[in-house]
Amino acid sequence: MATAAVSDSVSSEQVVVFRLEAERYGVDIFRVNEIIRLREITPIPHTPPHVRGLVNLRGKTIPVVDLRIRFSLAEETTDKARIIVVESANGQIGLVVDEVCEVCTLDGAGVEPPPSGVGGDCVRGVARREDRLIALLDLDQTLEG
Amino acid sequence: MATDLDMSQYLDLFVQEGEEQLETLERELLLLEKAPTAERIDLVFRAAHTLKGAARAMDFSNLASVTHEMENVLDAVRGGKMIVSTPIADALLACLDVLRTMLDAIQGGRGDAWQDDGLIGKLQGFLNGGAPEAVATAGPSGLPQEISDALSVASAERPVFRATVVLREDCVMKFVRAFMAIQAVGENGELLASIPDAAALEDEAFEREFTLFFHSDDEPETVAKRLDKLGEIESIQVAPHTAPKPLNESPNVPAPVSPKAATAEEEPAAEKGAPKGGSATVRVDVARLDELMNLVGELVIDRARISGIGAALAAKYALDEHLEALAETSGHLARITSDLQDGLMKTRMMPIETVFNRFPRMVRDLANKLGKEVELEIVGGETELDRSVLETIGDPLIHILRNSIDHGLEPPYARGGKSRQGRVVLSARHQENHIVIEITDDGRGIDAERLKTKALSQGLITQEVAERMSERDALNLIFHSGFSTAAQVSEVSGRGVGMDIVRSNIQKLGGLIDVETVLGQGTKFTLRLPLTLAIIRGLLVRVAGVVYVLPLGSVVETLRVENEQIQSVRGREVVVIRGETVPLVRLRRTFGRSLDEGVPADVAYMVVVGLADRRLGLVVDRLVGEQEVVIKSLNRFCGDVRGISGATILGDGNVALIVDVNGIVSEAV
Repeated sequence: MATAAVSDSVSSEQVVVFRLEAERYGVDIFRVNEIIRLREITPIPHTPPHVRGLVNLRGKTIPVVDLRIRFSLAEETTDKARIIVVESANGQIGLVVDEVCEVCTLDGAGVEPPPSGVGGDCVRGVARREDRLIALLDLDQTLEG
Repeated sequence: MATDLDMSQYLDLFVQEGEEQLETLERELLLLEKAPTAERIDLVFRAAHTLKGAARAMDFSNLASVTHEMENVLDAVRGGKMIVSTPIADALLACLDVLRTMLDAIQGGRGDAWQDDGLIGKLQGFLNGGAPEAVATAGPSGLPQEISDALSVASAERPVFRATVVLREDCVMKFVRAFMAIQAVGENGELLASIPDAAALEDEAFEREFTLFFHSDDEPETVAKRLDKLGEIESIQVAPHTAPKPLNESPNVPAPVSPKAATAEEEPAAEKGAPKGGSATVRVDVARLDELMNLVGELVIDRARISGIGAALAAKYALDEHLEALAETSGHLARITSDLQDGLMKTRMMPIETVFNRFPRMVRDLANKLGKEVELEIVGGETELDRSVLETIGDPLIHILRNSIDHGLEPPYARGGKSRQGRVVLSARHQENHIVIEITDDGRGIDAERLKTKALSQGLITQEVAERMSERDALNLIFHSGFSTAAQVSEVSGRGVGMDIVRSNIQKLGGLIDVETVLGQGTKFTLRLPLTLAIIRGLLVRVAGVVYVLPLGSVVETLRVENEQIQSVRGREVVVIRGETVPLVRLRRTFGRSLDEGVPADVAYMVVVGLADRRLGLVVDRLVGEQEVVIKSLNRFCGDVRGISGATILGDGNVALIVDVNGIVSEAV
């Protein structure tokens, strides 16, 4: 991608783009620690359904949130599913997504406020890229519920 | 004050050693009050003196002046001019509190600022009330009588040396040099006396020359070399000191009779851990030990994983030649890991007396306040346990002790046929992989019927429950939150908080608390705690397709139960085992999983767990096995989960949850 012209008031940001069903979402790359394959998840009783449970990340146990369930999509696991490990206020948390697509740089000027309804409070903006819309996730809101 | 030394780097050491001196002071002062002996007085005096010297050297003048006043009083005691009466002990102990606060402040970088609330005046008052200062008479050697007496007694046992030090004219802090010189001669020995005396040295009441008399296991030349390193010194002379008139015909410089052993005997136990020359111990930062413990935890997990992988490979490639080598290596790895784990565990172990030592003082103050006579006996203070457990049991023990003294023990006039003095025994011992702590008092005991009446009137239980309640259950009411039998709320206890917190704290540690009582004869609290919190043996069970870990320490037995053995009593499922009715909890239900998933419903396994003498059967689908597991806390994101106390990683690399057995039992029984 060509270097975007940076104007005074607008900065660019790098995001990790992933897919949930047909929709594309982006998370700030500085919040992403790593991307791992789906592995055995141990369920935790008495937690909300979107908290899938705990996984072993090199000797650490980290909780995993299923974004499909979080965003009220049908529960389904695909072979391309991955866990994106992100840094949150409560330590590392894994996000189960259908597929990790790419890492790209977004021109800040192209980011628009979210149309109402899409992803609720969890989307902080929408970016357009090659005719596709990317919903930028507000991680803290997403992990709040 | 200008100084050529950078004192800041010694600050930690100063605080650490200061705390040790305070510990010695407190322990010995309490003993001194009961049973004064010359050695004990000396020990206390020396501890105060060392502390003062160190404080001066570090330029903490408030700390130094408080210790100085203490020292004056102690000196009078040492000189036989007064005895340690209760008011004097009170004042001296109050000084220790002040000093402790100062040390805390110093460590926190806030210096030793202090507002005297009359304490110093009180100490000085004791001195003025005492006999006038005896004038030191000169002995046969021209030395003051006191010194020559001390030296002739001392030289009967070990060689005595004298070191005469002359400071340079431009020496800035004479007392610091003197103090360092005292430290230098005392390094492998002990300072016996000095001219001028210690107080004068510290007040810089000397010209440039002073003489130290001391025992030492080192050669005079070695000591001289040490002194030479101090700087700002003009000349040093170290030579054997010849006692002018041996008291008991022993030779002037006796043959060295295994000086090492003599030192060992004379060193009080309290000083162990202090970095004496020749001592074979090291101080290690606690954080570093914790870090190592984490690493060993990871190793334990990987060890289990490797043997799991080995077993899987063996099943797949039964005849491969490398498999045997793998099995061998993995076996060796397992042994080494175990040894490493044991070794590190032992390193982290500390004697429980580090906690127990706080209690004599507390008990004494409490007894005085309540007008009771209490004798506290401590048994098994040397029993060791992991410092993670050690850190958390102090508060529960304080609560129990306070309760025993406040509620348990009667006032001296109301103890019937028993001795006026109440007795509280605090004991610790190892039992299997646990430590058992007992707090026994010979007080009035707990009246179970009275507890019931009280609980009834406080609306904690209903009439019906009260009638069915066994004596044991009634006793357990004391652990109920909001329950208090004290007719009056006292400052000490009786606020209705305490015992419930005690129980929940102990359960959090994976421990048990039990109470036994005999009316009129006393009460015994028994605490059973794991030796460590980091690694436990667990029983692996499967519930609705998920593996859970039950701490083996709370498992009593495992049984197979058929459906027809399960009966219902008052809407609760129970099983009768050897004539005893045991209530059941189905873990599938506890963990909110579907009840009829996968397993045949007519047979199940039951793990009987116990909390004190309460039993509960946990119904699981299958028993999987036993394994050592490293406890990891649940992520903050998950918060507190009912029925779960933590997580761990199993040999297959998967995460398993650790069941909070104590929580489930308390909830169910």
